[in-house]
Amino acid sequence: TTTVGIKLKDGVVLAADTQASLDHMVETLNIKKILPITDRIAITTAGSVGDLQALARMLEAEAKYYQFTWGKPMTAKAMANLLSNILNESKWFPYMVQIIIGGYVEEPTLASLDPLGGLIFDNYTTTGSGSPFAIAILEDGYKEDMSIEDARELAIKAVRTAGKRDVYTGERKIQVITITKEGMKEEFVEFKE
Amino acid sequence: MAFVPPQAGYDRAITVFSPDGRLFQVQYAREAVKRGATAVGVKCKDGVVLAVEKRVTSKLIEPESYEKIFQIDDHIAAASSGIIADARVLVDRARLEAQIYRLTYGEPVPLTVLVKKICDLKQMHTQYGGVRPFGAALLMAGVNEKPELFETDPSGAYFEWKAVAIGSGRNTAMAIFEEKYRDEMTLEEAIKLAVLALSKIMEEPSPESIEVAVISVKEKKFKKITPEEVAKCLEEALKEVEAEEVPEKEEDYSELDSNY
Repeated sequence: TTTVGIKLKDGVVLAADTQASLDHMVETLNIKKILPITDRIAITTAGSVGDLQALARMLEAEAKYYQFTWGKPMTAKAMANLLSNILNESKWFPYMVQIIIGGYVEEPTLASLDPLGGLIFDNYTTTGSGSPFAIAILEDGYKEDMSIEDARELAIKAVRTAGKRDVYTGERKIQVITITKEGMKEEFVEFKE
Repeated sequence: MAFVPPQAGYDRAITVFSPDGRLFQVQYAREAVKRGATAVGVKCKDGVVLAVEKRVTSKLIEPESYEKIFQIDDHIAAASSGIIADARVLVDRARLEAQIYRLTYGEPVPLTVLVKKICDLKQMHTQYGGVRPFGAALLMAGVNEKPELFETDPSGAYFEWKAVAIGSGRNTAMAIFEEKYRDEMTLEEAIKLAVLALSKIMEEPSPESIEVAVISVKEKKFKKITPEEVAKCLEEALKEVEAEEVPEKEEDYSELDSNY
């Protein structure tokens, strides 16, 4: 798996490959690793699928409950902190996951979480087995005043590059989610050769 | 002892029956509901409507802080009558149970399940020691496969209605519903009927003092009706009433309470 997240002035870009691996086998080349949690927050997922799905369900329920209780949407910052708490509660029997939370509720927010709940708010970040390759591309290409479109290209390039050198990352099809003030947009970018 | 009132002692602890088999504290809780602001619900084939009378007692109150129809989940709403503080606790629990159900089974909670959960809680507060019953009735409305409308009583009893009213204006509103309710009403007609019923029990009906929410079969989503639309409904309702003055029926709907 390779997933990347980039935060900009006008929004957040998330991208991930679509290959699910099981040991050294390709399980499928058509899986969604970026999951929308609300209409303005999505998470990228890497690690144990069962753990990730359970956490996604929890976040979805918590976000809905938050909205109905407090009459306003949960911010990505609040969700990141909540998830950090959930993960850290299971410190001695951890969820085997790496998650990037990206959202634009009040402001663009990007956070990455490790299995024990370690929480880092950042401008750009990567997770998964291909992350060392992807982070190098982001490190080279990221600029603070990038446009959404440029960031989208950079994110796709980062995932694709990782796909070429990491066996456990697909390079045929990349899922991209961009979140701006206007809302969330999902697309799949495919490469033939 | 010079004077001991009859049945003394049977309303001290709620867990104690009176000799004729009543729980006085539960009946007092029902009285709190009867004195509360009126809330009505009307069901029709395209959805279900909740409407409440807002008793804004001072112009200094921030109106948006005084909401009386609560969204429980995407597809479920509740309106209360009685002690607002008690209703809030029930609403909070309903919201929690709705999301717990979603998380557990991955689908929207059926309204019947939620109504039973809330009524289980209410019933517990009529049997356990150290607590008092909830002084609030809830109208719970929602759409799963079809529109549904429930009334929950302080005792924990619940009923499904086509149209119902709770609170101080119950008798008048129920009489209007008995007169005017039709199964084949559209959503617009149902909203109008709800507003009409409220306008009849209010001294000075105004758009600001009526709150309306609907859940349609098509969308299955909670929606507040805008003040402008309420104003339009109220105007039409009042005009209609003028055209054909409804004969005031002096029927006493308090006998409905014997159901509990």
